This record gives sequence, structure tokens and C-alpha cells, in this order.
Amino acid sequence: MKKFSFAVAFIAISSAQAKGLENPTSNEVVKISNPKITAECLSVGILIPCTNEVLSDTICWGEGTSSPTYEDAQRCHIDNARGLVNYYCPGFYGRQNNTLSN
Amino acid sequence: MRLLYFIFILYSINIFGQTDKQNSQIQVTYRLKQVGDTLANGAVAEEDLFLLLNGQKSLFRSSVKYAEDSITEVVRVKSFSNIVDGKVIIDVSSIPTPIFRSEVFSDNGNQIIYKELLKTKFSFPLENKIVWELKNETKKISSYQCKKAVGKYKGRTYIAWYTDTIPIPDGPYVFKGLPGLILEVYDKSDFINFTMVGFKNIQKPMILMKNVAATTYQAFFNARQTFLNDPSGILSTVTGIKTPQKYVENVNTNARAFNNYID
Repeated sequence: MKKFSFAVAFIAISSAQAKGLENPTSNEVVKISNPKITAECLSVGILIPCTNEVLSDTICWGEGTSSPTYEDAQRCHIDNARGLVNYYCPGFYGRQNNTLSN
Repeated sequence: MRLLYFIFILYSINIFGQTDKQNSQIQVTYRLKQVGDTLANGAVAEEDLFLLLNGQKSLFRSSVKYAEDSITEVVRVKSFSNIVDGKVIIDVSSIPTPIFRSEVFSDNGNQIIYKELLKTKFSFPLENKIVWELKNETKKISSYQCKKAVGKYKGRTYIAWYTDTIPIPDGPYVFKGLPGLILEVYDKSDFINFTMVGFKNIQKPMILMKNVAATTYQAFFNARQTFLNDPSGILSTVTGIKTPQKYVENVNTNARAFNNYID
């Protein structure tokens, strides 16, 4: 388990190092091989609308990750994307009119 | 011991079951007007919020959160089933973002406040209920004769207008406990203003925020301070995506631009 945790941490560090402004390479699902544990990962991109750039990211799910299922990983990633867009793009607060008549 | 355990389980099921399945009988809509940056006397943001009522229970929640929940799900499904040139691209720009993310659940006068900070959700009990001073002044709001009350919350003085005609001791956010429904409440500087804009009988599910860390106000306050001390660093840690240098200034500015916390 420790070895796998290390592997996941390593993958996380590697993916963090690889993250930049390049487009994601593919949507290929990568299986982490371990006789006892199965986790899968997928490369995705986050569109930053104010700059029209795409940030590369990797989502993982399965044993040893924080997302038990693919859907959990998707939801987590959407949350991440929203956090990034809200803070990366200027002037989020004060331009809003969220009234029902609007 | 077993009996105690059994009673506890039954009690838990009863409590959580009730709140999960509860429907409202009445929906009051309040319009919030809030200055984001009080130091710069910045722009006023507006949002409509719902107070869902059923007997002694109420849930105060932004109307935008209902749209946010459903649109987020649509975007998720669409994004991950739409592979363009072999890539999954997430575009969240169509998801509405609520201004007022806090929620309050009140049960027989006991209030629980729910807060969100990045991806973490907190809940804590209202520690000091507002002690209202009833005044003799009156005014009409939407044909209702209202009476004035003044109270303090987190260092600010608030003026509330409530009506005896609707004998429901509730109101927006933590502003509750008067002899009638609060139709308007604002702080002395009018940096925060809630005004009733709708009232109707409607059955809507009163669903509490899920995956919440039960804590104290002080713990939430400390977490927010930690974030404000290093917004781009904390954002990187929470999302696992290192903030590119070109966005660091935006992140720090955006995080600190809002300083009008109602708490």
C-alpha cells in the first residue's frame, strides 16, 4: 500500500511538473499496474475563458486515489476547474446580477 | 448499552431522515444587494435568495445554487462525453456562480450556518443569537405594515423591518427571532441589504449541504485567514494544479477584492 501511495504521489508530482499551458496530449486512459490495486488516469484540459488557454491536468480514480469512481473524479475536476476560472480571470466579483428577473 | 446504541441509531435516522425528505410549504424570496469591497466602495452585486419554510424549520439558500447544481451536472456529462480531437476539454463558463454561498438551516430557533471555502464545506452553530431591540417606528413594505427592530451581529448594527401580519419568526440568513417575518434587513452603512421580493406557497425539497465538516466559527475564520494570506498557494494545494506565474496576481487580487464578509 505504501508503495502504491508513493506511486500515486509520484504520478501527482510528475503531472504537476508537466502541467503548463500546453494542450493535453490525449484522452488515453492509463492503468496503473499493481497486482492488488487498480487505478485509472485520464488527461484532460481546463479552458480558461478570459485568456482562451487550456491548462493540462490529469484525473485519477480507483483504489489509492481520493476518487473511488470515474464520476467522482469528473466532479472533483469540475470543482477544480471552477475554482481556477473564478480566481484566474479578473473582476469576478461586482459584475454579477444574479436576480431571477435577470 | 445496546439499548442506548439502538436509541441513538433510531434518533439519528429520524433526524437525518426528516431533514433529507423535508419539503417546504412556503418560499420567501429575498433580494440581496451587497458591496464587495467596502474600502473602495466598490460595485454592488445582486442576487435572489430563497427562504424555504415548513413549520419550525427553514432553509436559507441562494436561488443561483439550484441552477448551479443542475448546470454543473449537465456540463460534466457533456464535457466527458464530448471528445474533440482526442481530448477532453472542460469549459465551465456556462455554470452560474452564486455570490452568496452561505446557507442557514434553522430548526425551532437553533441555527446551523453552512459555509464554503474553495472546495471545503463547513458547518457550525450560530453562537450568539441576535438580541433585537424593538422600536416604535413603522413603515410599509409591499403593502405590509412593518415595525422596526435593531440588533447587532458580528460587530455590525442591523436594522430589520418585520410584519406582525405574517407571524413567522424567520428571515434571511441569521436574521430571525422577531415576532413576525422580516421583510427587510440592512446594516447601518447599507453594505448588505436583504429585501423581500416574493412570497408564495410552494413545495420544494429542503436539502441540507452534504459532505460538510462540522466545526466552529473560529475554525472556519482561521481557514479563511489562511487562504487570504496566500490565495494562489492555497488554490494550488487544493486543486493540485500549480498556479502559473501569469495568473498569480489575478488570484491574489480576486481573493482579496471581496472584504465584506457577513460572517
